[in-house]
Amino acid sequence: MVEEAKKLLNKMHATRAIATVSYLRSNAKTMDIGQIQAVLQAASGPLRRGGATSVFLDAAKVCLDQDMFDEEASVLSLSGGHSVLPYQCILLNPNAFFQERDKQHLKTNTVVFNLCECDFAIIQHMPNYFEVVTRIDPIFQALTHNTPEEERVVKVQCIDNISFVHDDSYDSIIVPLVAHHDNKLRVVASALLVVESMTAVKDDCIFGDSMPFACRAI
Amino acid sequence: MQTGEARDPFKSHREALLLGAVRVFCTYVQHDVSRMLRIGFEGDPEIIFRAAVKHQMLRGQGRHIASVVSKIIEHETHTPVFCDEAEKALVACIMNGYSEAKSAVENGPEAYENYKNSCMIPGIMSSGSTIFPSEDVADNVDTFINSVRKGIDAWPAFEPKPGFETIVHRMV
Repeated sequence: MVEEAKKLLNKMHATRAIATVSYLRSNAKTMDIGQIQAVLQAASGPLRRGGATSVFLDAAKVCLDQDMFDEEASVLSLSGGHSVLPYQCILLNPNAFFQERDKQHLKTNTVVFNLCECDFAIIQHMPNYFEVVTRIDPIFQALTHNTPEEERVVKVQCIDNISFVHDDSYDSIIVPLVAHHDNKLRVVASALLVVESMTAVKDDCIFGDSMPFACRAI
Repeated sequence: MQTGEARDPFKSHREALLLGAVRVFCTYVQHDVSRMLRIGFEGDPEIIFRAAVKHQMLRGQGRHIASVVSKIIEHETHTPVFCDEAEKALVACIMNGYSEAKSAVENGPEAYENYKNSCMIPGIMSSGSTIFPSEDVADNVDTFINSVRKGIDAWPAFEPKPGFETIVHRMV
């Protein structure tokens, strides 16, 4: 199973790779936690050898079961609102923090979020007050349920020039940043959620400030 | 801390943050308690708990949390912008579980009690009891023991400022 995943991932040799581990989506239910971790680890090496500077698990496409968010799944144990892993969040919205003259140098991409399928999200409750939630968070679920169907699936722009100092892992994902109004959610931007001790830095070609807005949970 | 029927969004925001600050402080305290038990501290659990509170207040996260809480309380809309990296990190901790805390303070004493018993306390016990491998290293154990001792020694001279520090001071 792991070999199969390695083969799949080895095919993805883009210099700016976004590892969409669709393999997990279709197989996670039949795999034990050790196998899942092995697949996730396998996702890292081949991509870096292929020139990737970072590995993203696309939150919109990787759907993991509730029971993966337990202590054993150390890479994804942001469980139940009581995170034990440190994390950083970097806003990837090119319009937010960059001067008009700098925008032409940005490499941008688009990402599609379906709030019903995102494993993680960042809720902005008040300006500058953010909460990282998982898809099993009951309040996030309720807010998603209240959000009109046509507003749950949203395409947003994201900066494509963020890399990591300690790029030896797979534990980063692009997540939606959602505003919370009138008991509903509205996707306003994309953000990079970096778990554990990696430090996200901007590429040389990025101007301005990559603006980390949340750092460490206990 | 006032709870219940805090429907003013800024007021309930403040209450949720205060609840989060207490949760974070208690998590650190519980972590100290766990480390002490692991090391082999024996005796009345109440005394171990008090030692942990004193340590966290004077030599741990207590003063940082108190400073953040003061800024939140004193701000007109309770939404100050934190620029210092350490404060931002602490606010990130406090914001963890914000939705549930806010819902609890907005929905009355029963919801608050329910949140406290079914979510907050189990969360504190679960997160705070995790001891990291590096904390088991002999040098770090010695450093921790010395730090706890210094915290206990310094406590009689501690003059709490109004607010969070006073609340913690009354705990022991």
